[in-house]
Amino acid sequence: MHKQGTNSVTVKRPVGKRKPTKVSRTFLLKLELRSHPTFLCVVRGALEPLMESLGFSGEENRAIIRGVDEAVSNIMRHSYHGCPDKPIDVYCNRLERRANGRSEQGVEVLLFDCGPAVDTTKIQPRPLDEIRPGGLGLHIIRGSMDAVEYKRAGRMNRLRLVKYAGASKGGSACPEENPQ
Amino acid sequence: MKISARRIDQATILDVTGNIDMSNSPEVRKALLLEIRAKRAPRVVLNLTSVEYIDSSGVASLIEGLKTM
Repeated sequence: MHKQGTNSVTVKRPVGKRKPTKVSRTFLLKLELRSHPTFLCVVRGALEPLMESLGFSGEENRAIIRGVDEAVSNIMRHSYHGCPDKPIDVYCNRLERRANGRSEQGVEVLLFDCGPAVDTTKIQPRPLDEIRPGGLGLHIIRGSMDAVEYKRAGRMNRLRLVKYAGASKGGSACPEENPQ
Repeated sequence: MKISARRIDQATILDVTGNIDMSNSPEVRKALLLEIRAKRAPRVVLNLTSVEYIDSSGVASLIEGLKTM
């Protein structure tokens, strides 16, 4: 279900009739999942040792897992409306940037789904002072990651989540960011 | 994920073990709301000490239980 590699350039997706997606990154990990909620634990289980191997602290590791888990859950719930057999692709890539005169190691997690385009103007986190169920996922994703970016890529939704080791949480800018 | 119920004095305690995410949070919600609505005891305690992970859907289930009481 997943593989670690170093030379992925063009990714051919076997699901449906989607076009091959050119990806100019060197990936650490690729997961091809179906949108069944039971696969959430597979994502968490794959990310934890990977992030540990990249040098993230326990707290950072948990934040990444939390953010990605919530994002994948959102795809299952909102993009696919609970349909359990739709494709979700997860890519992890190592990043490096210069910040404050020193090198910072990071990771980007790219999530692809084939759901309808997302109207980002309608996706706003709700006020947290309202004690009611639901609507916490966006807060958790944004609070867990250093950058969260959505993009419509052809017929696919692409969500990019970025986290740097040792970086202050919550910033959205990624200066001088380069994949390794 | 497993849920078991026990009674201590004036409280029903629901012991949860495992991880709570979108795949099983409806079970937590169902068990919690059933216990609250049954009114078998004045207090319902959810014991999460053996839960390592809970996502927003799990938190939503807890809030729903809280709002039901």
